Amino acid sequence: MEKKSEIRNRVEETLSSLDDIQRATPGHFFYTRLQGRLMRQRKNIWEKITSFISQPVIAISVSCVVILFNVLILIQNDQTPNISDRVENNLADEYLQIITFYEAENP
Amino acid sequence: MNDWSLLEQLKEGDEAAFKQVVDTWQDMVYNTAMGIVQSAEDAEDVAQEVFVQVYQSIHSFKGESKLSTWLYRITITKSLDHERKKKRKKRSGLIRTLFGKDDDEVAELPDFNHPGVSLENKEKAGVLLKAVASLPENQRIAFTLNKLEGLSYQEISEIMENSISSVESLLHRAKANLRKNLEDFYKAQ
Repeated sequence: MEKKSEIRNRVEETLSSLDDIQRATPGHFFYTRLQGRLMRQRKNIWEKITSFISQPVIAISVSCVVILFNVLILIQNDQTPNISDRVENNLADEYLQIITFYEAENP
Repeated sequence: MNDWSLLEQLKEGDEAAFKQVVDTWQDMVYNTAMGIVQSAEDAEDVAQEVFVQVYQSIHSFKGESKLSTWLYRITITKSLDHERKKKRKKRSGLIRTLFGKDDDEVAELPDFNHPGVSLENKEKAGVLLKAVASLPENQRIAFTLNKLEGLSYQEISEIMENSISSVESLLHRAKANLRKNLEDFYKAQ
């Protein structure tokens, strides 16, 4: 019986042991350490991007895409007749017509 | 500087505003984290993670609650994440997965002395905090906010997004569980 009440008292004392607790505070220069952490995080982001881009698979794939794109443009340019060529051909045709007409008029 | 103008300056990336936030609330964040993770080193780590998140995601804060409420929520989330990571690391040990039980983790908690406890209460507070660590999460959060941060039921309900009666119920159950754990502990001595 006594032991029970003793235990109960100890329990209640223990439950009250945090009643006058003060706030814990971080060490000095917390903000300085935080700034260091933020700076490391920013560097890490750039490191991640550059290391991703510099992976051989990525670099080769991007290069192939750029080369393919250029080849497609070149092929397209070959197939489409040049405007200046067309103008030249038209002028040549007109000139031939004029010569032929002149020769026809003046045999 | 009131909350509103401080918030606007924070969103613009003003460093002085960020420093003011850190200076104003670092103790609150650190103390709350310490109550949950029960280690000074881990509490510092969590506190830094909280402010890093504030810095990176201030734009997502809509101002519907107080800045302090938002900070408490982030602190609780980060602290619990930290705890879960620690537990996962422990469980991944082969011996523990073969022979360990969940209960063993409480018994293996190192003695924790909260620096804010007076000398005459240190021992009892250490026993109590160990028992708090074994409470279900919500009870543990409510108890920490009430006892270590001195928050009212109203303030706790805003942080935990519960009703006041839910908070009352959580605290009532927490105390009942703690009483039971402590009785068992002292009986075994």
